[in-house]
Amino acid sequence: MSTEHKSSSASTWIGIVLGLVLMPAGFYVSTKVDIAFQNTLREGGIPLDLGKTVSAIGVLLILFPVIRSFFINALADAINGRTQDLERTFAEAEDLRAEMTQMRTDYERRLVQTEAEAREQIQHEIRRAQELRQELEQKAREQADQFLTRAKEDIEVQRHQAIADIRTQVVELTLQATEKLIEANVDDERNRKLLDEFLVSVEVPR
Amino acid sequence: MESRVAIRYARALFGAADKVGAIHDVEADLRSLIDAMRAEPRLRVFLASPITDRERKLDVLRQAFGGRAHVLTLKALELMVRKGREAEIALMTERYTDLRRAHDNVLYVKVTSRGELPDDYRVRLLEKLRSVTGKSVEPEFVSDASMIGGIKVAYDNYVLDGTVRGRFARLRETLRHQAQRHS
Repeated sequence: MSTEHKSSSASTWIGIVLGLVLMPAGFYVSTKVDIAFQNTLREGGIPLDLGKTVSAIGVLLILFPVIRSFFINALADAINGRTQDLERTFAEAEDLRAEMTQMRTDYERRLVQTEAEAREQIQHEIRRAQELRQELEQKAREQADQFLTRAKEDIEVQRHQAIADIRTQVVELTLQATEKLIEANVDDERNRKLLDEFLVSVEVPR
Repeated sequence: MESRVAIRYARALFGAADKVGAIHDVEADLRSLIDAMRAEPRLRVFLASPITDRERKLDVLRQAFGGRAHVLTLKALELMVRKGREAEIALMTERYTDLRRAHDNVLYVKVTSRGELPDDYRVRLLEKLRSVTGKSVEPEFVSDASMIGGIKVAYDNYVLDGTVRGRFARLRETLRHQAQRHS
């Protein structure tokens, strides 16, 4: 950079010095020296003044470093600064974009992971709910079976009890009727038979 | 509680009567008093009354026996009246009779029939009881008009039920058990 700067500075000075030389030299040639082919060209319609041209080149050689120093360099610096700003902005934007991309990737990964976990959790809960439903259904069926069995047993017991009660009542009514019938028909003779039967069959405890 | 008191008096009186050989005399005295109380309810009320003077009760008892009662009987009744046990006299008499029966190896039998039990059946029944138990039999024949027919004999803790109603009761139980078993 320093070598390039020194080289540029040297060429600038060389240009200036050359300009200073060419400017008067051109003026001198334009005013003092008669060049043949200029006349030929002038006659041919081309008014070329070689001295003025050289003098103008000298002026340009002197003005160019000035222009470069005051305008081109500043403009170049401004352009470079602007370019650097743009590059930095682009870099930051790129970094930001990369970061956003990374964040998005992370977010999508987490989202996918969360969705997977949620799905797994939902599936797990569904399985638990199904197991619980099956268990409850099984218990309900067992209880219903027990109730049904017990109800059948109760009905059977009550049916037997009702039959027994009816039989007992029939027996009771029959005996009551028979007792009244016998009571109306027991006379002395039958009573004596009862006494005979008792005395014959009775077992007297000692 | 009161029956224990009656038993104690009965045992004491029986022991004293046994020593002097007056078991039956004392029992006859007590029986006559109980019969009199049954025949004359006012006598029972008079003796049981707590407001009647005890000396007055004793005077009435002495007059009732008229000097015919055994001295042991009078002493026992005096003691019970003075101790306020007049209400236990009837029960004490029953327990005394029990002791006398046990002493004499006598079996008390209560025979219940619809009407008067004919003599031949009485003889057959008492002979059977005597032969089986080996004891003298002291029967009490009771007539129960509510009976349909047959006879019921009760002694000690046994009841020999030969009545029509008893047969029906047994038949009723048998049929009821069979009805329960078959249902």
